[in-house]
Amino acid sequence: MKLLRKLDFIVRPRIALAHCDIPCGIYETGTLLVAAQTIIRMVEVLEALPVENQSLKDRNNFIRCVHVKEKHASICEEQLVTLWADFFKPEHFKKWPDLHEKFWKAVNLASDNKQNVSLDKASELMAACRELAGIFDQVKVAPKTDLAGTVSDNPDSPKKKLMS
Amino acid sequence: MLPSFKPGDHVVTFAWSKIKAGDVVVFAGDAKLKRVLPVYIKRVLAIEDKSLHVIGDNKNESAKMPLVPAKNVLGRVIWKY
Repeated sequence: MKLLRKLDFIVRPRIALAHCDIPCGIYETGTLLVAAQTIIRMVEVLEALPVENQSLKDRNNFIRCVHVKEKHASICEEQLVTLWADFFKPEHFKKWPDLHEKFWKAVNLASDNKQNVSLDKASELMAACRELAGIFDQVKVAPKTDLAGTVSDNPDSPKKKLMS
Repeated sequence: MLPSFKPGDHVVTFAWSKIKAGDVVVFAGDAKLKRVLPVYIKRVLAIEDKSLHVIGDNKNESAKMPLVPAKNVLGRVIWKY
């Protein structure tokens, strides 16, 4: 059996989720937007680094920025897939017929931003995330009073600033 | 899906046999995007028209799942390793 599992390196298996997520109803898009914004900032820093005659510090910063960009692109992917698979329901996909396509494109853009250092692609990802966050805001039920101060009802929340 | 399936278990599915109650199936949230969306593994409780009632084996943690259209199913589990 262990030999069969070595085939995973050749044909990567898909992960099937078995555990039903507890339907806590706690979803938000702030994490997604901050991750997309971080990618833009990392690209800006990377593009500002010298191309030739890099010092040790430059090389250190380059590696760190690439690492952070990669990490936040993965966060974007994870947040997008969670919203896509867990939050939005069939009635939402009927109301917004191109919602599947929007998520598909956004997830691919997150992957593109791992492979590239491009302000255009980073901005495109941010725009896609903002659009999906806007749809999310139209769907999400107002928070209960015991959740006062959450992202969606705090006018000074970082999310509100990222959406503007 | 404990105790039938543990995290890390590998399964092989077969897409061309008739599904019946008691089978374990792998399915996606949407038929058109079933090759790219996250997939789920559950046991078939009953079949109603062209939809499946599915449930997890781990009754302590399984929440109720909506009806799954048969076209969303990628296959029936035939082997675990």
